[in-house]
Amino acid sequence: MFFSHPRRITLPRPAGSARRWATPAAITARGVRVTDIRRETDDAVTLTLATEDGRPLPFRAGQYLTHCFNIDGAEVRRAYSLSVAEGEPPACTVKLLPGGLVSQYVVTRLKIGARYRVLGPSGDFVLTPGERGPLVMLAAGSGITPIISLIETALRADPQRRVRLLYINRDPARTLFDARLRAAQARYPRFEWTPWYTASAGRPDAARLAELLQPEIDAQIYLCGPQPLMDAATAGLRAAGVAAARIRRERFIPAPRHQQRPTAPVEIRFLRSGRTIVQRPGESILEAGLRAGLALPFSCTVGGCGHCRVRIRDGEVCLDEPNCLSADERAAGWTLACSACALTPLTVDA
Amino acid sequence: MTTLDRMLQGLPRKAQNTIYSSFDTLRMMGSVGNLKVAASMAPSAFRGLVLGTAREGDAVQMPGHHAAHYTLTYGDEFPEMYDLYRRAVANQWNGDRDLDWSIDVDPENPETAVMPLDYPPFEGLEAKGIRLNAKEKLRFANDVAAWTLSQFMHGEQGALYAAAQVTESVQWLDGKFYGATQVMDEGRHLEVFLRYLDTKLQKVYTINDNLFVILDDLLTDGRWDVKFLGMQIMVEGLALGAFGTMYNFTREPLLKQLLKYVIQDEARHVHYGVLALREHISKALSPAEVREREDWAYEVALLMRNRFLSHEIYYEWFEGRLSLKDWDEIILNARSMSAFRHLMFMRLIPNLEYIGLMSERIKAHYAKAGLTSFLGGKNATQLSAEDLLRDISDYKAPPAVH
Repeated sequence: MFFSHPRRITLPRPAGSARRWATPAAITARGVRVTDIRRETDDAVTLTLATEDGRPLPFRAGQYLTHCFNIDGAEVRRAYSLSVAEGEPPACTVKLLPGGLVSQYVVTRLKIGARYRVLGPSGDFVLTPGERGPLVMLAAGSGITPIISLIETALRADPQRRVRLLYINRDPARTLFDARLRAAQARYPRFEWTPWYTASAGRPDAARLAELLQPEIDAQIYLCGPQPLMDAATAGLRAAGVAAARIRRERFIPAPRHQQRPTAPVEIRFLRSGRTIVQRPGESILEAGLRAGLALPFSCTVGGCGHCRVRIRDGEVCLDEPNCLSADERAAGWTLACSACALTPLTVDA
Repeated sequence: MTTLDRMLQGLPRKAQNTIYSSFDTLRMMGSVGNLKVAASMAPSAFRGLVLGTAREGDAVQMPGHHAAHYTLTYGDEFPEMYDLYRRAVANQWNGDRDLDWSIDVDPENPETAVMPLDYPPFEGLEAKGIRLNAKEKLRFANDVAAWTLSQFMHGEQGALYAAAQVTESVQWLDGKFYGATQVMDEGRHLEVFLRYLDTKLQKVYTINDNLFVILDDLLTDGRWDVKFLGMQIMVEGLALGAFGTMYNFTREPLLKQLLKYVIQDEARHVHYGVLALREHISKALSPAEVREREDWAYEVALLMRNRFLSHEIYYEWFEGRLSLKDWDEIILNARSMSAFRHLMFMRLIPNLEYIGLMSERIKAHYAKAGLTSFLGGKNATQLSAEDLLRDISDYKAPPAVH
């Protein structure tokens, strides 16, 4: 009668079976504080963040946060990848871009203790749950940020997993996470890192990239870097007989310039729900739809991921450029709900 | 000072709590006056309170002992139930589409507090020498909110299975039609509470032992009318009291809208239970069977009134600083508990009266428990969802008693 039982108070839900609901939460900005700034190279820093409300910010390796900075009175948003393994305090690495307003601000002006808001985590450049086969990674420059997170997470989960990295930089001084990659090499015998420096070895072409990557038959391949490099790697791998389904790419899109948005309300008709919603001045199509309670898919909210792609059936929009839409997609009438707004009464297939 | 108090004096706090809760379990089981009722509840009470079945593992198997009533002739019309079914079909809502999940639930913003600071029993805690600073109060209020909503969610899971079982067992075809909509309702309620907890509060508490006992008892009892009485009248009444209290207190707009939708569904559920049971109790049960159901309902009503004392919060926050007995006293006297009891019994007592479970004999017991003031109130057949929401909003909880 007087047994004493171990008392469970709360239910452990590390990833949450409700991950399927995580995407809409991405629109909910969370306050964060910068708790540490680590200088990685002359032109790159890693920001470690803590949430203002003390609640966790669970993320998956390879995902990114959309950072909403207030710079000189204006809010600007940029997506930066999380560069630490799953389970660690969230940290994102930012590399200075020539003429980059936000990267300049982060690398030169942001201080420990700074507070701002983030959206996300978002993105599906992630490890496949349950998959234990070899991983082959190609990173170039700051494209290493999601890749290092994927590598460390995969190896912590399975220290015997075969993981290979081809990391392209202009020269050794530009190499991000050099110490972490060396530590991984020392600790995990099946992790292999091939550095490649374009200053001395030149840019590898498609055939050379396929030769360097040489994925095993059951390997998953992750590419992250400038668009031309990923296109070349994809072409080389496809020519070598690698199935497209095994290749994952994370696109990096330069910061978009905002177009002048209409100053009067405009009606948008959403065909799938049959709802007609009034877009308020300054709102994007996505913001108008979400405000009215429509379940529209989206992720980065800055035109970089394509999750919010919608097809226009009638009407005109203005779209912030550059963004991730291809020429074919544009020709077929697609736009990005997060970065576009209706200029005339609009009908969209969403 | 009672004999128990004298026994506990001087013992370490942990030992005090173990002895107190064991005696409390015994007292609860012994307080059930009707032996048949005590016997029917005993296995669930043993699993829940003594074995602590719900405190570990990923799932519990609850064997059902009911029969599915399969109709061969598709007769047995029940027009009022068919009306309810049509209404339920017309009023289905979509938890994903109809709620604004983009709302940022900020636990630190008092303007939109999930649980405002006038809800938790801070005065009662202070009277026992526990003072929380402003930050702790905020965190405590958010934990109480997560605990309360977690219990709603666990209750909805039970309601989902009970609704499915009742749909199998009920003899009227129109009842089966209606039951199918209730299964959908309960599934949706479970979905929205889980989603709210996972994505907004990010904390889920384990099921309370006493709630587990009631659900286990209902789901394993083979008699369809006891399942019906338990789920459609008692637990739905409990839910209306609890949801109504939270609906009144919360300032968080997403939760408020979510609870509004859920309460509107619950109004139909109770209406269905009342229709089915009035017919069954007046026509199909013997006087002895009616008497047993009366006693069972009375015992469950008292259990619901006295035993949802958020022990999980106690163990998380105050074990070692306060005795479990003192905690129970604080919670029983809290303003939120009095609001909960009021709203629960305001709906429950008239419904029991309407279905024929309020004989003069049992009325005397309810009178002793101070619950007869609700007799003669409106039952579920006389109330629309709007009436329910208005009554809930109109109720103002009295100040806490210390």
